[in-house]
Amino acid sequence: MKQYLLTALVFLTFTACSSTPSMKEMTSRYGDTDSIEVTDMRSLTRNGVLTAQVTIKNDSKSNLVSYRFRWIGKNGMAVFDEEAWKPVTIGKGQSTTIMGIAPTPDAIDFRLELNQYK
Amino acid sequence: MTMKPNQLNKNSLSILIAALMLVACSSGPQVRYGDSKAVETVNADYGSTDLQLIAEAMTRSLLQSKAISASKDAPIVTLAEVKNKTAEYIDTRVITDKIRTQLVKSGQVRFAVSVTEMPNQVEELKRQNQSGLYKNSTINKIGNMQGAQYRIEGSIASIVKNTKDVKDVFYVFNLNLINNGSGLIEWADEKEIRKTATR
Repeated sequence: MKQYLLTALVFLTFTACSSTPSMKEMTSRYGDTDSIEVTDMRSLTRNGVLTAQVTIKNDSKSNLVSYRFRWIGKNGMAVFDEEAWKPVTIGKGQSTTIMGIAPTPDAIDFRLELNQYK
Repeated sequence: MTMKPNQLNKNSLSILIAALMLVACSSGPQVRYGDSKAVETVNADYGSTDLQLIAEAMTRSLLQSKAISASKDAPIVTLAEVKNKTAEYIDTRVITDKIRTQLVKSGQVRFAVSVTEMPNQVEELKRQNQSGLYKNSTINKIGNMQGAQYRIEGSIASIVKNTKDVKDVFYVFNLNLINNGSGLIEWADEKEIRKTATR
């Protein structure tokens, strides 16, 4: 009986862990952004507003990267309008940390969108 | 009646020219709707992306400030002047209006009418109270307007450097939240933007 319980507990733990999306799942890519690597992604609620911090690394020659955050509320509903694409200049091999602050306290999660501009 | 070969050629040429002119007249400029959120890099002058970047950065930072987030009720704020210290023409009112819209949409801040909107507010109150046209129970009485707890003011400055082939523009936008009662600056932030145009 104890063994069954332990197995069920382990299974539930794994299920709970797998429900948290990975960095890859949290990132949408548009255009040629394969050389932009997302190396770190974290968030915390500061003064009641969700703050996201993402570290990206550029392995390509081109350094014209743009990004924006998509803020998600309860039930996966998008909160607020789409953000403007923000250009960021990073040299080849360079890492940079980008910060995003939610537009409203209703945001409980976020997604990152990466794009390249010409 | 027979046409000479030369006359025939002239006629064909004039028909061809007329047809070409008609085609040229009928095909106007090609119009496409673009993405209003896309990065705009037409030239190094102040543009739509700069406006969006500044407004977004300032709004989000302000929302996270203690002055706004620690307030029990949404604090009442008013817009003051954002000075344009650059050599360019920049409508700073568009920046502050955009910041105000985003803050109001967040539900965390309420705005009192600014100095520029005051004449319309006064006119409306006068119309309701002095025209004698309105039912007494529906009139908004004079003397009930709410004073703003804070005001938002700031400046935008730029450093521009040119060579024959390069134009480098550096903008710094500064915004302050000032307590109207105490005169204390409760929050301040800045946004820097660098743009370089090369031939």
